[in-house]
Amino acid sequence: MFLILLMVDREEDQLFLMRLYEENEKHMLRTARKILGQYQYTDDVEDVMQDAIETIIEQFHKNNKRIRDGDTGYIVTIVKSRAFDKIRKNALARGREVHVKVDEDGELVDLEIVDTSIPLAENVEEKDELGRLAVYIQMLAPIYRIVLEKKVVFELKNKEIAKELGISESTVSSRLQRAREQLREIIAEKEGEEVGY
Amino acid sequence: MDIDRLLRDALILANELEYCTDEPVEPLSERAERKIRRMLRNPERTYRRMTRPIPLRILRAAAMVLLALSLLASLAMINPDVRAFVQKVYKEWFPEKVTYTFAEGDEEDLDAAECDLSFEYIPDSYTPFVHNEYYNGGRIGFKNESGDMILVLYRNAVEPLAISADNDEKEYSTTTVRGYPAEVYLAKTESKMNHIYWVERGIVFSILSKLPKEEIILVAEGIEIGSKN
Repeated sequence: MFLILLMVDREEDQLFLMRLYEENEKHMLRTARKILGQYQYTDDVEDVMQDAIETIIEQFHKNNKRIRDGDTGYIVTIVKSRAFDKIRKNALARGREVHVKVDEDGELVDLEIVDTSIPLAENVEEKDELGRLAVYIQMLAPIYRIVLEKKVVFELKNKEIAKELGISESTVSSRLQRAREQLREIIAEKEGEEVGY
Repeated sequence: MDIDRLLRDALILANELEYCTDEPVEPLSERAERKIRRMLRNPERTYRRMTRPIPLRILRAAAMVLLALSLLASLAMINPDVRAFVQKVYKEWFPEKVTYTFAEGDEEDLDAAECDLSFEYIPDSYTPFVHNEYYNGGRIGFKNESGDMILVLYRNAVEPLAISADNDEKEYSTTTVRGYPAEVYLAKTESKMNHIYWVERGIVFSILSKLPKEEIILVAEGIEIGSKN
């Protein structure tokens, strides 16, 4: 009986994850292609998709199957995080060989996280609190936004974030603090009030 | 809704707004698609494979630590001048490059991405031509009319760094910059640039230029590390 229940459980998991993938596949792909394309790393799209699937399965297990239908934004955030991890690893690997192999034009290869934001919504004032905050988050410097996502969305410890981003724990702490400060400044500027994020 | 929950939802929504559009997207290759579906068909097995301990990897890491420690101790014993440097930096020589691995930083270390550099001394004929900021540092370049450059690179001394320094083409020596031990690689041919490296307050600095060593040191000594904030 137990075995049958286990099999039913597994089949449900499998069907759920498969459906989740099919529903979100295009958004996942678009995210991976858009981010990797900025760094001419489109060859890595397939690797990033597989990394993201592994993370989704891991989150599904660790968080007691908390991923739900309609979690498109969360899944896209996972793909974004894995894409930036891949870029960092590539830059590091490439940087190891070419960091000081500067050509006559002074060209070096390293990672520069550019702003990936789409043009901001014009009708900010018509949005609710969550929508406005999302728009303000798009104005955050990318180095802060990435650290904030890893901390708040994926609930990683500072040590884990430091390892993923290749920075020290104290840098993670200061970037988190700076992220919140910058967000407060943006909100204060746009809405003319102090908010406690 | 509590603040952290609101912030989490807003971070996710910000990504959704950016990436969940109707733009057409090129599909995955059939092979990659098959692989992903295989992973999803048996999530249990995928998860087990991901979390399986890898004894060989652990053994290899342990061996590397032992090797690093023994080399570190030998280096510090051989030359007192480099003792202070190797306390935070582990260096490996290869025929065509030198790699540096940095010890974990201190609380007082600066974040290179937050630093704003200014220069007290740059030779008169050089003017700024590039200034890039990266997630972990940046580079600032100056050029003269002949196209000769001074490139200043700075990044957090966290990720390992390899310096392409062909030992047949570069002459190695040590010096100090503002009291910090520094390493100099002087090019033996005119077409190559001289390099100087040092670690200061958690940041590894590199200056590359065809200028003579003494003048590069003047540039290095004249760097002022400010904060963007």
